[in-house]
Amino acid sequence: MADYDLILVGTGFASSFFLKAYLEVAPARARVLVLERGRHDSHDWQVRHRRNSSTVASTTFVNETAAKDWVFSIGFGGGSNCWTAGAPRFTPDDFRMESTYGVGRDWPIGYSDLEPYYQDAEELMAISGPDDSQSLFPRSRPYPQPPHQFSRPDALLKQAFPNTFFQQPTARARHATQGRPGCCGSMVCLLCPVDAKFTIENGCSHLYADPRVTLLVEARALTVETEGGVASGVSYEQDGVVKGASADLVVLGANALFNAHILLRSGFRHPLLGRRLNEQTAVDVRVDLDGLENVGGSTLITGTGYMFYDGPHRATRAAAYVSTLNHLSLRLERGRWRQRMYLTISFEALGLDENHVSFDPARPDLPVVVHAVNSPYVLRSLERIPVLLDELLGNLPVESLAIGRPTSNEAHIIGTTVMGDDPESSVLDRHLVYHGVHNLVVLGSGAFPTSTPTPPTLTLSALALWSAKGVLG
Amino acid sequence: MRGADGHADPENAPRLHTRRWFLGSLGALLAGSLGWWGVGREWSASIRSLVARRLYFLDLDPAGLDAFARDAMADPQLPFPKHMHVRRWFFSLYSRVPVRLFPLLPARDRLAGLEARVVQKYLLSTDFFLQGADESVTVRYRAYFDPYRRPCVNPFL
Repeated sequence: MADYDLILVGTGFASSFFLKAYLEVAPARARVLVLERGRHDSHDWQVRHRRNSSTVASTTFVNETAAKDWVFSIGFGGGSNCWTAGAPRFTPDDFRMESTYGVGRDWPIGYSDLEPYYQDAEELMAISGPDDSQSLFPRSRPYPQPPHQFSRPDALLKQAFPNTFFQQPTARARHATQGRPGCCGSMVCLLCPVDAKFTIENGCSHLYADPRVTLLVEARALTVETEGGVASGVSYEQDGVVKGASADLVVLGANALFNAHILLRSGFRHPLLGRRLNEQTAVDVRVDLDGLENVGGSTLITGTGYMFYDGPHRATRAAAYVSTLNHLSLRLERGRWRQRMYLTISFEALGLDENHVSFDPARPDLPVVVHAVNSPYVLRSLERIPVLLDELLGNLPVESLAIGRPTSNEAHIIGTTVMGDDPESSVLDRHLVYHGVHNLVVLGSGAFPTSTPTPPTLTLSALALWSAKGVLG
Repeated sequence: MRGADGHADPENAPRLHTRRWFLGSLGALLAGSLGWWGVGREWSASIRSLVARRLYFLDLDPAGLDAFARDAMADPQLPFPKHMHVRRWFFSLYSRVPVRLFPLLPARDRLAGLEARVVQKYLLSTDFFLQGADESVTVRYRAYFDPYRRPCVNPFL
């Protein structure tokens, strides 16, 4: 059995950021094994095939709830291939929901603990963002890149909500960086034609070329092996053969479905393991404008609104996060081609114990995913969408609105390995170490005690850097 | 047809025969015409009709519209398979008649969505927005709008 200092499962944001921090402190003779279950579908391959992955993600798990989808991308770079590159921070109150509003759970760490790691993650991804959002997100340094340009409707929203409406912080480069060109507004960000959004391939490939690192693709982690309460290695399957490797440190960085499944398959039995699976809900809105042209927005998502985010309402109903979009979609009416805008309103979720990932010995390779219960906390906010829109759009010449149905997924899988200081009520400790197994780390948004309505990528990336610092010293 | 007593009605019989023949012929003519109108047409002809119908108030460069229709046929993101005769027939019909005239058509929303996609593709493939969306100027085809073949083509920045 090959022996390593570190075995890392997965090559997405969390794994890659942890690996970066690890390699910075690891000795020259360190040996790292990285297991990636998918292939390395390069950006060129993706553009040629017009898809993010050669693996069909829906075949890799059993979905027991037809009305709920779980969307993710398998392969080298994981979710970095299919994200739209929205990278806002969470707000300070997002980390203390229970103590502030009496709902959800507090995180074991606060905004100020994570702030330096937010900063580092933003610099790694060359995030473009506004510097006038200090009141919501105190920062120690400016954003690495200037913000994108508002559209004309955005500018009116900014007038109406100067302290709660900003340019979206994003990894869609405003200007060219060393590894990628600037965003040129093609507006198809799930797969950027010019590779302007940060991905693991265009931003972190050098980590995997490091001589200390052995990357195996199409190598699927099966179990974490333990001996006497210590993780001793990982068993994995490659080319139909089950193999094993041992290591001093084991880090799981797959998504929240697979991390929990690997642990359950390995025999870990914490009562909360796999539970509190949740995901935000969003609603898309089309707004036809009377005489106002939607032009000038320099990227797909330009504005983000926090006007319905924090406040006393959060004690009873979910916070909402507003995004304005600039799809290249026309209003097919004479003379009014561009008098239309799109909004997405995203709502936070609560992690309920009933929604879970489980291990079925009859189908050992497939996580069984159940999301049977929708929280009234979210439903109460969904009912208020017309009221929110009245308030939001009061400054715009709105002609008509079309409100879509709640989306069945947001491609943000949260919960299943929640973090906390109390081993009874959490699976991981504050540095994402499995309670009671000091050399087993579980990264990713599975650790989030609460979801918030904002995209989780920047936070899970910063959390990986925080975890590395806590574990490696 | 027979009379109330069961005998043939010599007066009505020839007239009914003529009516049957007439209705049958009309039906066959209609079916034949619709068949010719639909199945006989290529997708590209329907794409041309659809764009021209929807943008009737614009002066569209005919050669450019032909070129767009050919390029749209080759677009893997648009559903124009060569061998789907039934779908092609419906699309042909629809390309000339607005979908609002078919309130009960099951595929109404899908057809309306396809129309929007095709017409948007066309407009973004032309110089229309580069000319300030001036409806008095002839609209000329430039190159097929596909951000993966020609990225960074956004007239609204």
